[in-house]
Amino acid sequence: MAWLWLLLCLGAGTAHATPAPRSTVQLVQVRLNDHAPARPSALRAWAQEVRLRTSVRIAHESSPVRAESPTLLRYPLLILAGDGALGAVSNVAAARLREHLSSGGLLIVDDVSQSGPSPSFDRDVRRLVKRVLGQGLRPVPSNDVVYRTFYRLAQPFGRRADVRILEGVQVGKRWAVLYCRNDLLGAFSQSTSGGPALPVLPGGERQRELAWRLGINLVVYAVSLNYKDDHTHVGHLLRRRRGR
Amino acid sequence: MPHVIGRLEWTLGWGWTARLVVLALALTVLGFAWANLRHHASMRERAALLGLRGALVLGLLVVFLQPTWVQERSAGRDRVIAVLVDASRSMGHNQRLARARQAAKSLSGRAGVRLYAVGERLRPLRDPDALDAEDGDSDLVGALSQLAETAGPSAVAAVVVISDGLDPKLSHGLSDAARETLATLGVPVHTVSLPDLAPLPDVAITAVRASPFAFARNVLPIEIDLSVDGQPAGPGEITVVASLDGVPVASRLVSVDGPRRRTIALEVQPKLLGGHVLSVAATALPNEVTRVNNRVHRALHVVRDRVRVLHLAGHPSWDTRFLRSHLGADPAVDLISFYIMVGRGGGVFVRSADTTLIPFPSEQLFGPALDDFDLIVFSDFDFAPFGIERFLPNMRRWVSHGGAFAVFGGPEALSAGGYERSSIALWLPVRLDAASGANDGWREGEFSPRRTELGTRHAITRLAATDADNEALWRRLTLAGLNSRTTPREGAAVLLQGPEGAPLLTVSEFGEGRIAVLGTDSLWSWAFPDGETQGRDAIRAAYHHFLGRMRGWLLKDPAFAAVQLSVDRDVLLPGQPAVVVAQVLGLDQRPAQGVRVVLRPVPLPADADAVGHPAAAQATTDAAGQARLRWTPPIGGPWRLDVEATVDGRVRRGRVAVAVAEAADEDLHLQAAPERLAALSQATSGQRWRNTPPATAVPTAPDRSPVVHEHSRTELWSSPWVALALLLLLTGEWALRRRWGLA
Repeated sequence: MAWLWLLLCLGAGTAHATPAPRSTVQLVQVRLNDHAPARPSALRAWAQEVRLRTSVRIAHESSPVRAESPTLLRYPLLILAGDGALGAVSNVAAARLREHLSSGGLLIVDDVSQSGPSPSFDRDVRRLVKRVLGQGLRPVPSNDVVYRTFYRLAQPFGRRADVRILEGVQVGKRWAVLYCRNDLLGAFSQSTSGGPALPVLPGGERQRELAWRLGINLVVYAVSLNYKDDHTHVGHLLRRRRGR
Repeated sequence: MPHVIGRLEWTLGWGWTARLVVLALALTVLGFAWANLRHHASMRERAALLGLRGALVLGLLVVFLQPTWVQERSAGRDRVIAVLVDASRSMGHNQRLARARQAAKSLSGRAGVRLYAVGERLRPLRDPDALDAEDGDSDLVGALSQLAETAGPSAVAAVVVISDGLDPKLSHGLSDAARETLATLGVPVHTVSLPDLAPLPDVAITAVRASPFAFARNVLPIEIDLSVDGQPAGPGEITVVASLDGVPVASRLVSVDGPRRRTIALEVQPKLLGGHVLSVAATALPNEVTRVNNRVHRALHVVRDRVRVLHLAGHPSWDTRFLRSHLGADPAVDLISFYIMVGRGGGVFVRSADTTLIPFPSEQLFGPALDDFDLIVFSDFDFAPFGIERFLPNMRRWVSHGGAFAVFGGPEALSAGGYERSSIALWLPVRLDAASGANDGWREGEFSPRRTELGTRHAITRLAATDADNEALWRRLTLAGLNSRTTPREGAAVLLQGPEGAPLLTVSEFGEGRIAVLGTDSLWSWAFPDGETQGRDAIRAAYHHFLGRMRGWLLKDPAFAAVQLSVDRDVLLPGQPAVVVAQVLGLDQRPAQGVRVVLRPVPLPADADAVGHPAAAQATTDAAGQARLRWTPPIGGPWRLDVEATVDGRVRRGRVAVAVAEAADEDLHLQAAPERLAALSQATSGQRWRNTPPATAVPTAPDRSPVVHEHSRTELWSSPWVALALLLLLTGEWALRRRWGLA
């Protein structure tokens, strides 16, 4: 069997040799410091799950993109994962992030700390968001479209279930930043054998499925925004016609 | 016999205070004179001298007050009784003309009576028998004003108006201007009304109350005043029908059980934008006197309250996401989107009970509800699996009736999505060749879009104010991914090309609607430009400009209509010339000068098979791109004015519907209206009579008004006799004083 896994891994590597088309949604981690990217296997699994369950054309970028880099603006969807202090963020990086988020980009922030939300990561994320967008994080209401873009969700689960809410910042009427403190990428991480790399606590595989669903919803939200709200209009339209 | 009147005037201009001061001075002089003589003269001498001094002071006072004798010589002038007889067309009904002649004759023999005929203007009438009913609309107040001007002040002693009262300008009572005219005339206006012996059998639409503006697809309520007079000989029911551009859209059955006035409510729901004609008609009864008042036409301007956009996408993508943001940012857009959320085979991994997914509502969207949308957008949408093929004929009809349709490309659209196997391929602006392989019909890779010669001038691709800025901006714009295997259809216009001249943006008109095909799914990259691109703010703005202008062109916003028409009035009359102004714009939305414009009037409802309506007028546009075309409607009813102009080698068309009234107001109201005449009498303290005035009603002897012919003034104080008398008084007093030794 070992040769088969080797073949699959080689195949996956070959697939990334050619860049994804411009219009393909790409999952990519943004890098603010010199730390190694967190949960490196999670993005591939996440993209694969989105492909399996939805019609979104999606790929992942295995190399993180630096916040200071002009190429940051090639990726409307960014993931910032960490388990400790972010460190100093340069003015160039802050300006680049500001342009990204105010132009229509979405930043998903995930606290991937092992045993619980990291106070230092949380502190630096709030500080960064305030610096970049001029406003602080606030809870995402439980009836927000983020919880029903694809799956109906009651609360955000990750590898952990420590925090019952998502937080975010809106630019206009859309969420530009969504912050999960439950190690979402941890639930997606895969071992070299292709199975889950980390146990999900306390809910086990049911909780992992709910984490997948949150991951799906976040990606679908990135490319459809409040699309699901339109359907209330359809009902109104049809009722109006029946009333004639 | 002239009259002479004289009177004395004191012309000194000083006030009473000055006069009292002068009087006090005079008394003081007399007092000093008396005191001076009291101890030196006898009683006889004092009396003589004080008498002379008093006479002198009195004379000086008279001179001081400047008395003037004013004398006026006046003579009388004859005043006339003006008899105004209605000669408008309505007098031809119900023996009104004969009765008017008789009433005029009864007055014409009296002294000072002068006859006039009244229609649209006043004219002398020598013989009542010469009266006819061939003038236009009555204008009684206008005639009274004309009478006051021509006869001069105080020349008219009284006015007698003989009429049926059907003056359109009196239909809402006396206006302020009319009251002012009557006050200027200043004489009583007596009226002789000619009430109908029996009501004329007639069904009439007397008023249509509806807003002149309506929102497309919204209900427009109409209130119709219907009058039935006389005893109709026909059936006991009539039908009231409301039509838009001659096509019936609402009706109501009304029972006729004798003379009656009633208000009927109807509703219409206009769907197409622009100028239309709302007509209301009542079926005619067999014995009706006239049928021109059975039909009323009104101009109706239909505007868009909100743009309703249906956005269908084969999958959620960056292109759909940024297009959604663009449309959602416009508060005038109602956006309804349906994205195919699960890929082929993907349903295996998704339990629908856990999701918010709903079945694609093909039936609801492409059935009758289709007419509720203004713009439909396909984004990389392979519609074949969703049963839309059977609705495509409906969609084709929708576009040809004015719908706007945009196809955004991608790996699942056009030839890559198998459109060439669908009937949609027959009416898109591009021809589609079958793809030969899995990836055929779609080509990856970044490229710079190139504008065609037409694209350099077209409104959609004009993203900056100046040509130079536009050129510079387009050089910075790039796209990635292109639908291949497309070629432009005849009549379509390619505005943008991809690599090797492949059509990228192709537009065309289809019937009344417009279609655009953009063969890429990467337009979003302008909204979210790469960080290495220079001038990113300008590129982001270009994204919104491009989509906004494409939307405006597709929806035929007035700013993007090639030919815009306006008529110089809302309601036209048969036989009266009107001016139609055609504003012609070039592809760059600038006024097109020197363009030949042809006007073709079409009576509505237009026969769908009829083609080649004759041209009524031709003109050439001026520097402002305007051509003025004269047209005289031959008959009343709803009309459509089609205008054709050839701009930049392409035929551009514009059209507007106009309402032509069935007849002038005078002909629309049939029953005599004595109450309108009564308003004239009441306002001037005149009297009212029916048919013939009594012999004693109007004064038979002509009144005479005094006219002053001579006016003379004689200044008594400046006479030399006054000066001589004062001198004699002074000399006499001096002589007596000398004689009596008192000097």
